Order: sequence, then structure tokens, then C-alpha cells
Amino acid sequence: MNTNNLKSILMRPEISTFIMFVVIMTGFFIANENFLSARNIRIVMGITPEYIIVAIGIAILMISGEFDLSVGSVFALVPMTMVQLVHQGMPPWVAIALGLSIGIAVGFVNGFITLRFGIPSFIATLGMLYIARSLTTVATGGFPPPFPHELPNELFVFQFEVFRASLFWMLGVAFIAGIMLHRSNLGNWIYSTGGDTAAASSMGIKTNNVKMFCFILCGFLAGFAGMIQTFRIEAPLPSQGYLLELESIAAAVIGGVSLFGGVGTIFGAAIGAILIRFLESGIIMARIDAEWFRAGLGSLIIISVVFNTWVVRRGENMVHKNQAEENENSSQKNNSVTESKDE
Amino acid sequence: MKKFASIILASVALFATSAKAEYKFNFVMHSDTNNAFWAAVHKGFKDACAQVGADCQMLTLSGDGDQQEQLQNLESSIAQGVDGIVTTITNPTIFDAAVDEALAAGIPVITANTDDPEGAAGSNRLAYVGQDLEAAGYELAATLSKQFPDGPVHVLIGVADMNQSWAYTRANGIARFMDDFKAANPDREITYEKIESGMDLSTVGNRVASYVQTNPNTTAYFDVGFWEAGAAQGIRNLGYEPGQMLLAGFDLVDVVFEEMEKGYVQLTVDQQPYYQGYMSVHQLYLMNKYGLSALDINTGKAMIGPDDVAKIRSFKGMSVR
Repeated sequence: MNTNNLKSILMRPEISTFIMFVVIMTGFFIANENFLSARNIRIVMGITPEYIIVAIGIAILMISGEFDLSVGSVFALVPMTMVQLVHQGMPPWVAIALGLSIGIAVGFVNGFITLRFGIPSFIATLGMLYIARSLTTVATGGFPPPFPHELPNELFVFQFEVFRASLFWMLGVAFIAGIMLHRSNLGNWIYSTGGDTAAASSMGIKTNNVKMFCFILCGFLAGFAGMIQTFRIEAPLPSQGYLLELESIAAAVIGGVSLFGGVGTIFGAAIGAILIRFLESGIIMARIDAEWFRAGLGSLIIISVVFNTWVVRRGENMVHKNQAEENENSSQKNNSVTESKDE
Repeated sequence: MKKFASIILASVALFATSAKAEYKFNFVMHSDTNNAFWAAVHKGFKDACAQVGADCQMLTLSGDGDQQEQLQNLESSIAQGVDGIVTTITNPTIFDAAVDEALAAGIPVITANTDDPEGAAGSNRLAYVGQDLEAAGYELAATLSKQFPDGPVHVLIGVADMNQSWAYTRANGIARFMDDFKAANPDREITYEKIESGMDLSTVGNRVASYVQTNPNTTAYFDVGFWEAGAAQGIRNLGYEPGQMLLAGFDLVDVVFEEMEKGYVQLTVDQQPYYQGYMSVHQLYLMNKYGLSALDINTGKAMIGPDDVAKIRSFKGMSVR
């Protein structure tokens, strides 16, 4: 492998996020050695898979050129529905299937409104953010219901030594999404649709269908992740997933997904989500005072994206410089060849 | 790249330079930093920490009442290996495992401000420093009932957030008094209704104003927080005169005093939040230092009316009440 290959890898935004992640982890470890203790890793990794699954859905949708602000509300609505259906006497697996289909339905409605009426997905899903949150409160019937233990929560959140079963579900989701996005025609269509919808359309890609698929997938994954969270804490909370939409978009952007579509990876979104969770934990572990908590988190989010952009730009400069040097070398070679011919 | 890395490492190192204190205590609370009530709790917590020389951290939430985030903060405090935790218990079940885990790790846990709805029977926390929420709700309604007009009474109870145990426990106390009041006055028409009223002044103001337009016979509004001040603004906009509808709630904050001076709010309960921060730290300190055991402290249910405002306001600049 020559240096050019190495540089082109470093230039990838998700790799620079990863470097940032390692630097931050080291910093917080210096601040409090318990930061990387098995107990803390266990706490953070208990929560992180849920957020990564949402970030994956958001990232794919953003790559296709759309947004979903309703994921936080769907994250609460889907598990609340499942719990209430079980309380109504429905078999657990049927309740799970029906609950997840609500996530799919919300994704479909988001896509339908956005695409059919040609309005920005930002607006359509902002409306859905409020609607789904309100439906969650309605579904509680006034007071949050207890968690029905006939639901198979151990299958999704069983606590191993350090990790939970949800980590493996997340890896499964990431693997399938990764294959789909990076190794299939559908993935190519998603990138083309997000990169330049008109061009993709003229190439014969059914861009509306592609976007609709991404909306549905995003709604489904948000609901699935919400279900895992409810299963983990064994309580359906109407407040669950509050502000999650912004955090998922932040995770995707930190991981190198473009706000303008057409660019991004599953790995990037996942590493972005992990970074945010560890930042949050690290700030607490470093014993930063309450008033500074959000300021600290916000600054670190900005620093990480600035760092990310800086590394990418630096990489680009290096590659340009190398190309310039190569061009110079080759033109010198050509010159010397012509000179030798002349002789 | 080196430059960036060194900046980040330097800023993280800054966080880490806090002096090595004998004990570290964390306060895990259920609100964000914008909630005015918590300033006095925080002040008490900080003052006590300074007195005993402890390294203290108060953990707030990004979203007011986000229990999953609060649980995470509680778990992170255990992972930090602190010497004591003060927490609120806003849900009857989800904090149980974490409290047990802390106790198993040798970290004493006491609750302040909000206890498990079942008290010691519902959680293994060592003690509770705070108001008896249900009793305070009952007393509040009982005291205000002396101002109820003759004839039929209809009361609206604003349960800020139905998902928060502190909110519905206080509301239950108010409702229990209303049931007793009805039983004691069988010949009068006495009714009450609960709504989820919200947790900011304008939301509560709007909801109460909407409610009284369709229920103009409403005699009184009880809020389980201090947001009856928002209701005061709401009914004033509808043209209500001071005292035309009685308003009562919990806690001493400036906006409530202003509405009391205007005559719109008749009653509030002081739970003395400074004690909740202050006494918790002293307890944890003495437990660590001398092995003393934890004890419950009822921080009060003092009824505060418009006549008390001037005196209390003279202390207000100290951020203690």
C-alpha cells in the first residue's frame, strides 16, 4: 500500500471521526480512569445500540436526500403500542409485529406526504413529531402502564458480562444495512437519488420509490430501537426518545453523512452515535458541573465536526499536491523522452 | 492534527484538575437547569459540599423529566465510584435495579425532593429528605378550602406530567382531600377533575384558560408545581378579577410571589428545597466519615399566603428560598 492509499483512507470522514473518537476516549480516560472501566463500558454499551439503530435509519434516509424529525416520537409510540396491546390480551409476538408495523406506517405517511405533496420532509416529519408524541400520550390512557413481563425482552436485551443482546441485534441491522447500501443496486440507487435526484430520475431510477423505501426503513428502525429501550428499562415511558431526532442527525453528520444527500456510510453513522454516547458519559465522568453540561456536549459536537472537516480538507490538499507532483514528474519524463529522441 | 489533539487533551485535562477531595458526592435530579425551583436545591447542595470539602456534581437532564436519561446519569455516577449519591425517584420501578447496584457497590443512596411513591417499601434507598408529597397536597387543599365560597364547588387539578411520580402523588393528596370534603358536605355539589397541565408557564396558562372557558363554574385551580402562576396569567387575560377563581400550588418562586401580590394566587406550600440539597450532603458526609446511619427528614409543608410574601422576599436574594 502506498502513501496515496493511506491518505485516501484518512480522507474519509468516518475515519477522521474514528480518530477523533480515540482521542476523546483517551482524554476522558486521563480525566477519570473509571471512564473505561468494565462497569462504565457496560452502561454506555447498554444504551448505545438503541441509538445506533436509529442513526442508521436516519443516515440512509439522509443519503437519499431526505430528513425524518419524527424518529424520537416513533421511538416512544411503537413500544407504548406494544405494551398496551399486550395489556389488552394480545399475544406478545402479535403485539410486537403490530407495534413495528406502526413504525412502518408512520414512515409510509412521512414519505407519502413529502413525495405526494412535494413539501420538504423537514416539515412533514416535524408535523409527525408532534402527532406521534401526542398519540403516545393518548395511548398511555393518562398514566403510563406497567411493563408486561410476558414480552420476550431477554431475547433483545439480555445482559452478558459487558454487552447486552441488543449489541448483536444492532450489529445484525448494521450488517444488513451495510450490504444493502454499499453492495447492492438499491444502495447505488439511494446514493444517486440523494446525490442528484433529477439525474438519477433521468437514468431510469424510480427516485420516489427509493425515497419511500428509506422513509419506511427509518420509521421501522426507530420503532425497533424504541422497543429495545423499553425492553431494557422494563417501562414504557411517554418521554422516551425526547430530542432523539436532533441527536441522530448530529450522529450521522459527525460520522460524515452529508446534510445535502448522496454522501455517507453506515459505519460513519454508527461511530457518530457511539461518539455522542461516550461524550455524554465522559463529561459526567470528568465531573463537569451541571450548568456546563450541555455547553460541553455542544462544544464537543462542534469540535468533532470541525476536526472532521479539517482532516478531510487536509487529505484533499495532500492528494492534490501528490497529483500535482505526479503530473510534474510525468511531464518531466515526457520532456526527457522527447529530448532523448531529439538527440 | 497534533495541534488539535493537544487542544482536546488540554481541555480534558482541565476538567480533571479539580482538587482531590476526601469525598465525592453526586446529585442526580430529574429536571433541566431551566427549572427555577431547583436553584435553591443546588445552592444547598453546593453550600454543604463547600462546608465539608467534598467534590460534588449535580447531574441535570437535557429534557425535563426524561427518566431514561436520569437512569443513565445514576448509572454513570455508580461507575464514577463516588462516595454517595442523592437522587430523586420519579418512577416506581425503573430506578430500583440501579439503586440496588449502588448499594451493593458500597455507595450510600438517599433520595431527596421526590421519593418512591411507596417510600421505603418501594425502594431500598437509605432515607428520604423532602416533603411528604401526598400529605402536602392534602394540606394545601385543606387550607385553601377555607376560602371556598358557599354553594357548589368545582376544582381543577393540574397534574404537570402524569408520568412523574412527584406530580401524581401530590395530585392524589389534593384529590383525597376533595373526596373527604365531599363526604363532610353531603348536601353540597362538590366535584373535581384532573388534567395534564404541562410544565411551563405559558402551556399551563393556555390549558387552564381553555378549560375555564368551557367550565366557567370552576372554583379553584391546584397546580402540583409552581405553574399556577401561568394559570393566573391565563385567567387574567380572560378578564378574571383577582380572587374570582382561587389558585394554589407548590413552591416559592418569584413569579408566584408576583401573582400573590396581584391577588391572583392565594396559597403555596414551601417544601424548603435548600434543605433537600443541604441536608442530603451532610448525611452522606457523616455516613462516610463516622458510619452514622441515614434518617428521613420531612422538609416541610409550610403554607405561604400573600401576607408572608414580604418577609420571604427579604431572603430571596440569597437564592436559598
